[in-house]
Amino acid sequence: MAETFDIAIVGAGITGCAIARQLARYDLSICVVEAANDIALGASKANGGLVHAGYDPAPGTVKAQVNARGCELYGTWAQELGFLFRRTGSMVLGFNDEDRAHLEQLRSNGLVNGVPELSIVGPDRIHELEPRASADATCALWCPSTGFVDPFEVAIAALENAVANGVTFMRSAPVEAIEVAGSGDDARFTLATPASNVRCRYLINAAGNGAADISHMAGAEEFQMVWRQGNIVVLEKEPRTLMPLYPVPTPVSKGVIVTGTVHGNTVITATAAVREPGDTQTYAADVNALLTGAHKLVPDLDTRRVVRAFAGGRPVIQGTNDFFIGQSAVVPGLFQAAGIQSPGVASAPAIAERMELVMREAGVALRERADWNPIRHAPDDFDRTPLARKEELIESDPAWGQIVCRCETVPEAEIVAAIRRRPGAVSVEGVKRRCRAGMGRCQSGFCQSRVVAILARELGCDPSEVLLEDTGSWLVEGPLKGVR
Amino acid sequence: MAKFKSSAIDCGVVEAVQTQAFDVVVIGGGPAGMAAALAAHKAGARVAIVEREQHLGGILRQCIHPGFGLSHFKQELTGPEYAQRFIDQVHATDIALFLNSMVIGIDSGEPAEDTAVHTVTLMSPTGMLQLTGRAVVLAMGCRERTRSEIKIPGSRPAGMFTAGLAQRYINIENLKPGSRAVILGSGDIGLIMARRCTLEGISVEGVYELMPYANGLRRNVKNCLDDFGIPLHLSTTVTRVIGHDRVEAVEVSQVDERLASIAGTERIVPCDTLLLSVGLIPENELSVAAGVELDPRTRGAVVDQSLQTGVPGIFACGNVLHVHDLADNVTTESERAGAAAAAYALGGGAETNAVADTSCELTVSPAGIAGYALPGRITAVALTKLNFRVRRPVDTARVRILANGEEVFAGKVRAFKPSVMESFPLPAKVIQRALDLGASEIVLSVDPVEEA
Amino acid sequence: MSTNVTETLQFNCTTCPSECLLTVEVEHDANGTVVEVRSVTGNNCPRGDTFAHQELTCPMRVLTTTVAVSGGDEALLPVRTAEAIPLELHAQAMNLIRGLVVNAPIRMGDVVLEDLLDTNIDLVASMDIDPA
Repeated sequence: MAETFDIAIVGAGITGCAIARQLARYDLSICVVEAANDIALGASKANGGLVHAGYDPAPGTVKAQVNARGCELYGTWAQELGFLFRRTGSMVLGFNDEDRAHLEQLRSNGLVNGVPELSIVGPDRIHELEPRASADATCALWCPSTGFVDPFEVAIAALENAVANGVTFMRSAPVEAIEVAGSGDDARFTLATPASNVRCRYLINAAGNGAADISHMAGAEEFQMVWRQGNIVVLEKEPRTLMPLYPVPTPVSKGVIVTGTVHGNTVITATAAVREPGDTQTYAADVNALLTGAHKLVPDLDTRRVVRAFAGGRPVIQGTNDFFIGQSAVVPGLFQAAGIQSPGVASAPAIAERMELVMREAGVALRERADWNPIRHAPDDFDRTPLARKEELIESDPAWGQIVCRCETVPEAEIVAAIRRRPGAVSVEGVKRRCRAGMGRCQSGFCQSRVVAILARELGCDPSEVLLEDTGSWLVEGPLKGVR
Repeated sequence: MAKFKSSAIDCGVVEAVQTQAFDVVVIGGGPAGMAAALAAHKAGARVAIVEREQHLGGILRQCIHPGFGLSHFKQELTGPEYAQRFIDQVHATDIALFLNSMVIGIDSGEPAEDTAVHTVTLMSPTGMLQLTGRAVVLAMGCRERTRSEIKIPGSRPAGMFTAGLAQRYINIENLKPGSRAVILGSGDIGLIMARRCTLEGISVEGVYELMPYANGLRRNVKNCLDDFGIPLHLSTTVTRVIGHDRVEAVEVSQVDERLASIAGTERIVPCDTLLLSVGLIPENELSVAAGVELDPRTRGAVVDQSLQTGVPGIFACGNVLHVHDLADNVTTESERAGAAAAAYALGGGAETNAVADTSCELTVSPAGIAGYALPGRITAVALTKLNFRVRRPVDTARVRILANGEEVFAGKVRAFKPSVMESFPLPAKVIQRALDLGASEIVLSVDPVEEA
Repeated sequence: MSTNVTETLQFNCTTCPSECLLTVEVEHDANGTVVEVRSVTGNNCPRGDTFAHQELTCPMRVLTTTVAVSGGDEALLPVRTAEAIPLELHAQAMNLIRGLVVNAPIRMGDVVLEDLLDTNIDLVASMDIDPA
């Protein structure tokens, strides 16, 4: 049994979700096919959440074209999709004359790339913009358009909006084979997944670290992915959220960046080392490098207060440092959004916009739907809700007054909402990504067993079937007592 | 110090919220909160307890093992029995109970009109509520240190639990957290859980301890490990977590005297569960939001001899103040805090100590191998109970009290262990002597001495 | 001719928080059975002496665990043996307790199981459990 769609998008990372949301406005049937059991579990997961401004990529590259535009679009996207976005501005700190020359270079890059309002500032202005920036910094590239988001929230919001506009989401559906029929066929591609097959006329490859495999299965461009692994550290919340502070970049990465997050934590991101594909382990040397690098930018940072350290792979196409966005030259009808490494989050809305343009130029019929709704209402975030609204919520349902996660003040009703939304959470981590239960300083020590109970109740399963994340990540076995 | 203002309490719309008035509002219904409330009640105060769970008792409800009550009740009780005795006492009074209620803020962060009254804002499934009291007792307990805080590298699969979470699964939820466990940390909870797991059919591959000595009480090493033949590996720690979805193994390594892992000593221990018992941290986010200054050593409030914090009328006791190893000590300390809070509330905010002397203002600092000293401030010339903990075990050492570099007191030579929270009575005359010397600080130093 | 061996053991007394380190001289026969506890030193009170003798002949421990609850506001009831029972019986006792179910309400001290494994010691509730 196979369902047929106009378009299948492989990969529910931030790229695939953004494309789904962009195309949902047209009269097309769309299916997002995801290997994992939830949204943004691959490269999008291992990310510091920065919306880089776009002065970094070499002019003329695809990255250069989509980064600054993506950063610009975030304002509208955040408004329409109801996710948190803070445009704080950022500084690249320089400590000597050599650094200053680099900053000048970045600034002229930025001008070519269309990044607004870049300027080089001196120590007084640095201190004024971010009092905690190192006093040793002699100069900085001040970039007012930089910001940050919660990458999970962006991907989830985009896909929720797409689904609300009729897009189908298939989870736990890893594509194992792709059959390609003649180019005129309405169902040119058949994707084989363990659950069922998906047929489609156009195929969009947004498979992140799996993009080379998808391209290969479809008989399209052959390329190799390099797993450029990054370790990231999250620190406890600060009384005042830090502005993103960058060091002068190296040829392969932006270096160790310190930034605030939309939730008020501080993030140190990220190391860059080529490792075995799939390696999401953290390494002591990497974590130490992050803490050392962070201290250079923010000397008074309390790096003992680590909430979490994690790691993931950026999907880099071997032989190029650029994105690959366009129709396949080998298999028409297949559209590639591959090699979306850094700055993938910052670029996501513009990648979606560019994909739309590429498809239009390729002759895909894009007819606007009358009933498209660009607005997605964010679920109630109890902790951020004004007191009066809190009272209203509790009055409407006592479960709003039942705090489950005490570190992040998440009530039971918020967790239930995270599970019941479409697409909803199906795991403990999925709940955490949607409403932050378990994201705080105790890292779910107090609330995990309660979240497990709520998931079991809502999903209609036994606690022993509740997963931390994906298949195989069981948390508990059965009961100990009252059994023979 | 920076004030951390929770987003939850930053709006001024409070007039709609119902208010109830008390003399003393106790935050936390565990052993500390109950003892403080009972003492305040006994002193004649109108008392309220706010507890986030639906029952009183706190963490003792899941500490089902014996070892409680030996000093307070002169008999060995289990944690739930120890708690139940206090629960029964509380129920026998008119102490107001706000269960299933989460405190979301103390005072508004803005200076109140009546500065002598504190406001505690709480929420529950029935709505929001404000309690006022001239005195507030902080008794929120502590949380467990996590894997991230001790920076164990490797993957992040299911099957890593803090010991307390595993204890909750086993003792409260009736769920088995795994079949084959490794325990990191020989603190009391880790040791207790080694026995609990074994009795419940979860095999314990070993307990690993970074330090060259066990961190828990001797009785627990004996009754929880030795009784069951569970090996304790000292100077060894977990250096990598292995397994993508569920824990499959951990890598353990020996450490040198600087606690750095020694290359070449790595060993893979197959298991499906890793329990972490690597320390407790007082839960002071509410206190900080209320403007209470913390001691970076204890991560609890800086208090004076009556357990009053730097914010007048706010007192602290139990594990939110400093981590205790025995509930009995929590009870004793909390009774003092409760009595002092009642005296403060009923005395109209005046001095709580009969012999308080406005000219007495001393800070107390640790030195030598003492990791901390409590109270951090002394404002009265009276017999004062000092608490401290040593950072490493020594067979022969003595407590010395120094003022202006002069030794004003020396204790007897004896052994000290980091697992034991020590207490030491500081005579009034020693405090007076420090003042006579013109000191503004007294130093509690624990110094190892050579054996004769 | 005696094949008995005398050895010196060290362990902590766990009767009270002082945890005195006891040094015990004990005589075993060829099978390892204790023939005589010859001396106990290191104890600060007479309870240490009693403890050492008991520990070397038949170590006794209070067993604490849980029992499934039906109709209560908690899933499990914490229980204890009213007095210490032989340590060697703990595993057997756990097997017996695993299948038990008690009905709420329950009060601390209620007997959950009388005369556990013929020890003359009852298994009792450690806490109150109210009906759900």
